[in-house]
Amino acid sequence: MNILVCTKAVPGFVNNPSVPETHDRLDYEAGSIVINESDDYALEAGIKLAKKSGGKTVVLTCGPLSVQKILQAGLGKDADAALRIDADLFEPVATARALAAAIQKQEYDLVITGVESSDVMAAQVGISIAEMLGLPFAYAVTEIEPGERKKTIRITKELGYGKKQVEELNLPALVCFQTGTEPPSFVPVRKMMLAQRKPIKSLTLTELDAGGQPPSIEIVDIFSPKEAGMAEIIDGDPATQASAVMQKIREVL
Amino acid sequence: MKGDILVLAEHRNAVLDNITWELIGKGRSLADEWGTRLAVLVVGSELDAFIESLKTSGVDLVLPVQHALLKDYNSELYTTAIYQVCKQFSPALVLMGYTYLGMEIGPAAAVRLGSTMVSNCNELGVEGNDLIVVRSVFGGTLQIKVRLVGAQPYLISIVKGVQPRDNLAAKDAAVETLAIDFDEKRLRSRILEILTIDTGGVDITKAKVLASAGRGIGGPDKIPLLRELADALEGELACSRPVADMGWLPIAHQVGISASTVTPDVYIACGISGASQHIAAMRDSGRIIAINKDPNAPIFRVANYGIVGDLLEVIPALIKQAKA
Repeated sequence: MNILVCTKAVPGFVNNPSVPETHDRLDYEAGSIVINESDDYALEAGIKLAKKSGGKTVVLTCGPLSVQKILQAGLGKDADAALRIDADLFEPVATARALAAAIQKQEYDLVITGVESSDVMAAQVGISIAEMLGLPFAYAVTEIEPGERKKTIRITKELGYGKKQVEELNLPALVCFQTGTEPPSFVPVRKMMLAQRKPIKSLTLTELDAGGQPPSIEIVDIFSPKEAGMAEIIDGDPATQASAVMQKIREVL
Repeated sequence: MKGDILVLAEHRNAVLDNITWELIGKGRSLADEWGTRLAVLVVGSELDAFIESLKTSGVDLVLPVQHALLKDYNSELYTTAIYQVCKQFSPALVLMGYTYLGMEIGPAAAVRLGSTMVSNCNELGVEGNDLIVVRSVFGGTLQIKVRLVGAQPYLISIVKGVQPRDNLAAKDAAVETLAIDFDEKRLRSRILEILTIDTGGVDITKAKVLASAGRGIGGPDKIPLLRELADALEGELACSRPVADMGWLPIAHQVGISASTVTPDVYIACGISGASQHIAAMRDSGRIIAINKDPNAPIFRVANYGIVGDLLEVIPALIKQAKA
């Protein structure tokens, strides 16, 4: 099974966020750049499944050169190839369009994405790609294995409220992978150094014929959430704080 | 902008989910402002009871899509239903929950309709002629205000629990059954099994006090400390998703929209930053206490009382007080 994994580099924390005059993105200083958490789980699941079924894994991302290190980490984890779309996009549907265009040029049986990015927090890109490519899809997937029938996979997905659903999907398909109980592995330093020497292909939106669409949203403002409804902060040393909190607890018990 | 509004109802175990009433409340006030119709779409195999309660919920129109194929939740069929209903009813605005349902089928319906979706919204309103939403970014530490300028209908998913659930003046809504072509021969997914989490006898939904552990506690070795706090208050131990994912506690203890929704008298969030999926499942607790070292953690926005500090100092002090 050949697998494509879509990942995103996200800031560990941000400083000085602002909206540029173009209103199509956010500007900020990123404290650090890391792979989005559920994408890391997606990558792990993808590599494992591809190996088990004798296929290859390609790890993709959409972003400027500065995010390339998450692809190198993917190669360090044994992805067979990496591809970067050289575009800095905010709007989920634009990101999905770019990734769908790149995916269309690959040979694949399964596309895996994470469930939601920690920066834009839209949970839209994965499912949008599936619909653009006409693929069956499943969201919040926690397990993937080859299906009993040919050209299928068997997935387990969360339905919420303590329920899960097991489904069989025809391939090719797309699943959005959820964080789970199997933690992503660490890459040994030596392997990481070797991975950094591997070539990473990059494509522009023009090459993919995926740019030039008008925006569907404009970002007007960015701000800290309103103070209303904020907790009453209890100051003092731990003993004083504990005594004040316990009084508040006893009031309602 | 101006136009009819469609709300997507959610239900499970033969009960309409609260998000349905929250969306109807928001939809009603916008429809009244615009002088347009508010309709609610409900999808399933046995809808009679839902139709009866939705008819008097304050909507103008109930649009049931009822079919034997819809007994269990199938995302392909739901996407087809919402797409075809939008084509027939032509709403300007579609409201759904930022829930598993809205996350799975919302983006698919938007792409199929060639329309604009903005997800994970806390607020929705009109400024001038434009639809404006406010939504979280960067883990909920910041919010952005967004103006929709793309193709309609606008699909908006709203976080559960942030909109008030008002009792609206009942109207005798019309019920209109729309014909949907499911083309079942072309289905590419099959439901094999539905699983329920094995709780091993733990029921955190019944506890009056929950001492809840987040990733910020630092490691599984701190669980006994939280257990001691829970015991001292005759409560139960709960946790956030990462704690269950990492195996520090079984999933039966997990609070969140993927696991259990809780409403104890007292909820003590220890080292929980407050992801929206967690907050949605505990915000209706009687009194919320948050202890976290990060003063910007979103949990402080839903907590009644907060302590910014070191858990390892504060919790032992709390245990001492609780036992006193």
